[in-house]
Amino acid sequence: MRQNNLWNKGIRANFIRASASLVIIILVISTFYFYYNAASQDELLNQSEVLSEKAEIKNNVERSLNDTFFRARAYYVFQDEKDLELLDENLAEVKTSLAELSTVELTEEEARFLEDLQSFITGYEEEWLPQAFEFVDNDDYEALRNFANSGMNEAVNQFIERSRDLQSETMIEIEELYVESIEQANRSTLLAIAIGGVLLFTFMIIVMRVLKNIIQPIEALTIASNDLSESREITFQTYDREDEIGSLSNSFYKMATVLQEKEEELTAQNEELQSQQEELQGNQIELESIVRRMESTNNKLERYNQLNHAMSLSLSKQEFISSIFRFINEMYRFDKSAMTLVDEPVYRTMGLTEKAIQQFILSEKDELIVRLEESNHFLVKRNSTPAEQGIVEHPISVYDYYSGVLDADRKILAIFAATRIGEEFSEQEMSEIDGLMNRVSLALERTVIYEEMERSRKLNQDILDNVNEGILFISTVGDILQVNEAVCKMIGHTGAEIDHGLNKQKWIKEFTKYVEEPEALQRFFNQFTEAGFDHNGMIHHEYVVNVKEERRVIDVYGAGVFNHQERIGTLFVHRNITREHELDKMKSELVSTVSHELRTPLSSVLGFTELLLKKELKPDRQKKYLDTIYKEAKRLTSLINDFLDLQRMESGSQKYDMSACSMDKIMMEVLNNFKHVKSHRLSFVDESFDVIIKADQARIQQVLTNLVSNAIKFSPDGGDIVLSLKNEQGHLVASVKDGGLGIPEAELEKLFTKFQRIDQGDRKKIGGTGLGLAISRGIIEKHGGAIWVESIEGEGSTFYFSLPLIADKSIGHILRDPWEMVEVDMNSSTVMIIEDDSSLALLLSEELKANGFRVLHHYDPKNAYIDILKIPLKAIVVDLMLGDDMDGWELIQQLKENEETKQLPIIISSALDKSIEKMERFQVDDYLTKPYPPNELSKTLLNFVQASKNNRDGEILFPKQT
Amino acid sequence: MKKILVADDEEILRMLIVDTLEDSGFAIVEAEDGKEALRFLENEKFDLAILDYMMPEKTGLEVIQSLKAEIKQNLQIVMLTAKAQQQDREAALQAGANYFIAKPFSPADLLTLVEEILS
Repeated sequence: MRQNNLWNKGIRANFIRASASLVIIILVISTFYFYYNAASQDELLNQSEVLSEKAEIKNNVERSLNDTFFRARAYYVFQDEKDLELLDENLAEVKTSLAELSTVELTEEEARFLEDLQSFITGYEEEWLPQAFEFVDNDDYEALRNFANSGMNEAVNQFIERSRDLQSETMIEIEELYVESIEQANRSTLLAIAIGGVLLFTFMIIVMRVLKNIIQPIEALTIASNDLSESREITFQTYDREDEIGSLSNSFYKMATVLQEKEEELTAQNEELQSQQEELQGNQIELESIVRRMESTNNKLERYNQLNHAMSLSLSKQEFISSIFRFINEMYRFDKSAMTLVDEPVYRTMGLTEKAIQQFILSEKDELIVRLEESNHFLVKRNSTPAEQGIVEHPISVYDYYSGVLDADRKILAIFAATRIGEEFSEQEMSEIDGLMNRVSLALERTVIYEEMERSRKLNQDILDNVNEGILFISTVGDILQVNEAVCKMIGHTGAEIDHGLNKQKWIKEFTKYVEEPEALQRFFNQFTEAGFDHNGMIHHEYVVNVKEERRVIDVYGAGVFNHQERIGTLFVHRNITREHELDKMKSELVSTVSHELRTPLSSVLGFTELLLKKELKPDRQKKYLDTIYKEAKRLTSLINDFLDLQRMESGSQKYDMSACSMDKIMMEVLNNFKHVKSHRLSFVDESFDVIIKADQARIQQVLTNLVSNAIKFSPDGGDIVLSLKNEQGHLVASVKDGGLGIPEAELEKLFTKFQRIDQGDRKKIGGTGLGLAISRGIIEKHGGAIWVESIEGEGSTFYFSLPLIADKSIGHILRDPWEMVEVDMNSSTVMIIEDDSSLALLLSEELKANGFRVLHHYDPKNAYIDILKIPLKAIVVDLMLGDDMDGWELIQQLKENEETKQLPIIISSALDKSIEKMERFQVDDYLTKPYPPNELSKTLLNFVQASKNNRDGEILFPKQT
Repeated sequence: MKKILVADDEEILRMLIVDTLEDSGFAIVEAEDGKEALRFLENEKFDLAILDYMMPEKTGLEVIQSLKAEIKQNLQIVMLTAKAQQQDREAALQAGANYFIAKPFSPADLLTLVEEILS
């Protein structure tokens, strides 16, 4: 049924029907065309045949007419019967042709021509010819000619002409027909084309219809199915058709509907699912973003934490700035950045050259600081420098951001500067950096406080470590809370053994390691931590510690340390009192020495006085006692004076009476004071030429006296004591040389310190306060000089002191130019003066020195004689009135008797009258009588020296009588 | 006859002591330092030793300390001291000194003391 239906209404049936219709139409049209074409061709053929026939007939007419006329005329001429016969034939032909002509369709003109011609022929045959024959038969040609000319010929010609015309007309017609047949052919071609076009059109319409009917719904279906497959909304109308398309569309529609319904259902489910998923996804995204946020927060927190950690840990500013700087550079991207403290050269930089940094650090930042103080931060936009521009062709914008670290008083502590090339700073960044700077400010202030604390702590520790006192601070239970280096060193530890935190047992054990009588010290320490200890004052203890063979006496006191009336520990202060101890010992030794030294003469004075008073004594005893009393009293006085001197010197109350004076004079006077000394041989070698010093004469004398006394004292076996004086650059150097006990090398150093006595060997026998050298040093140093000693133990000592020469030469005088010395050989130019009057000796000496002589003073001729034997001399100046033992003449005698000294020139300087007898006896060369002008002596001497070449050795000179 | 050793580094003081005691019939030996004093004391029998505290070589105290007990037993010792040496005095007393005489002393007092000791 359905099949049938489909067959009836299906696409195939439709297609067949359409095809069949098309074939039928083509057949009909082709047939029609064929017949039409054939008919028109037939008609044309007919017409062509008619015309050809007519043209032939006309041709026959014309030809037969022509023949007729031609035959007639040939008869006329020749009269041949044959011609006549032919004429009859031709006439018959004309009549046949005309008859034929009359059967065909004729035009009006042809019909008229036919009629005319038929009538003419009838006339011609019946009238013209018989007349013409008559003439011919009559041979009347004239008449014939006339006759012919009367119209016959013209008519004949006219007819010929007309038949020709008709014939050409027919030819034209034929031609026309031919043209028409061509046109006909063209038309039929056109028609064929038209039919073809119509057919094509029809076909196209059919195809279009088919397409419309089939393709369109299929396309629609396709679109719909695409839509369906792509789940778009289907805009599909069902086709109310009974063909496959219809059913397809219907079923498609149904399917689509079902599908759509299903899909809607699915979509609904899907949507539900999707919405659930979306919700889930949303949740997940939210979760993810939360996680991310948490992560970044975590990250940030971690960094902040690190920063906080760094900030709280870094207590040095450098470290602190470094960590901030690192942090900020990790958090933000800068091309260059720098952070510097304002008041200290502490800075960190990134992307900057050292030069740039230094420039920035050293630059005048006042303006920048003022700006930052006003606004915390600011941003500068500028063009890039060529270096920043890099490979870019045009300048780019560069942003400099400055942020200040302000303290509570809005004072700039530090500056942070960052540069970005071609990228701006966001508001958020800037505010974050600012926030960071605020934190930096707080931390920096904390650092400052810490540094302050650290400084003060260090200061405290430094103070603790640098005080000489050993500090040990222990808690109430005895643990060490604080200990300084001094205490460790004091007791012989290097430091590590006793440190804070040690408990009582440990440190006490360490502490008493090198201590003599450790138990006593342990007891001392322990008492402070005993229960119920409530001593509030200081408790002293003294202990001895032996450190590397050094014996140290240490005083320690313990005192409670209180905080708000609560005892928090005990402070032990250890003082190395070895020196004080020694000083104390020395002082007490001094006291006992002084005491002893004082008491000994006092004992003598008092004892002998008592004996004198209470005992019956012989006069010599009495005198001896009195002498002793006197000597001891004097000794007592000098001791007391020394002691007082020293006291004055120590207290600085010693007065010095400074004035310009001659050192050689002082030396001479001191020498003079020791004139009475017989145990030693004293002499004075004077090489000086510039002798004026500014000094307290008495004090310098005291020093010299002390040195000479010491020299005498410490050369108990007698011997030479030589004083000397010479010039050195800007100074005078005086010395006292002895050949005595000498001083052990170890003692040399402390020789000039007060309270020092070298109590060793023979020296112990030698009394003294031990103050003399200390006093001497004090005096010499007060004069801007120096005192020192050279000594070899057992061989003797030489004490030197130098004193500065007076700078102002107008005050004193220089005896001679030092450069002249070059000319004088000092050794061979020594002149000995033996004179007990020091002032005269000085006078002579200065005169001699001024002339380049070196002067050797003696006052005792006996001692002088010993030196004369030892020292090469230029001459001797001798006083005749000398000491008790020997006078001048005796000396002269001795010299003259000795072969070695016989030649030595002698100049006598004496107040005594000339003894002519003695002079002659000793061949005295010249003689000076006191008083004589000093230059007299020198003149004499110089003459003498000059003359010595002239063999005047051994001469004795007189002073000239004035 | 009682025998007395006088030891003092100061000759004058020795003279004073000797002169003070000479008329009372004692045999007197002089020593000028601690070492000499010790030598005398060890080699001879003395009834009394008058020792100066401050002496070279050996102080009076050192002399006493160096003495053997049996010598010390029969020997009276008088020390001459300065008042400042209070501490040393105690040491000397411990070592075996019997009497002290402070410098400066009165010769009469010394004589009285010596006579008292030796009687």
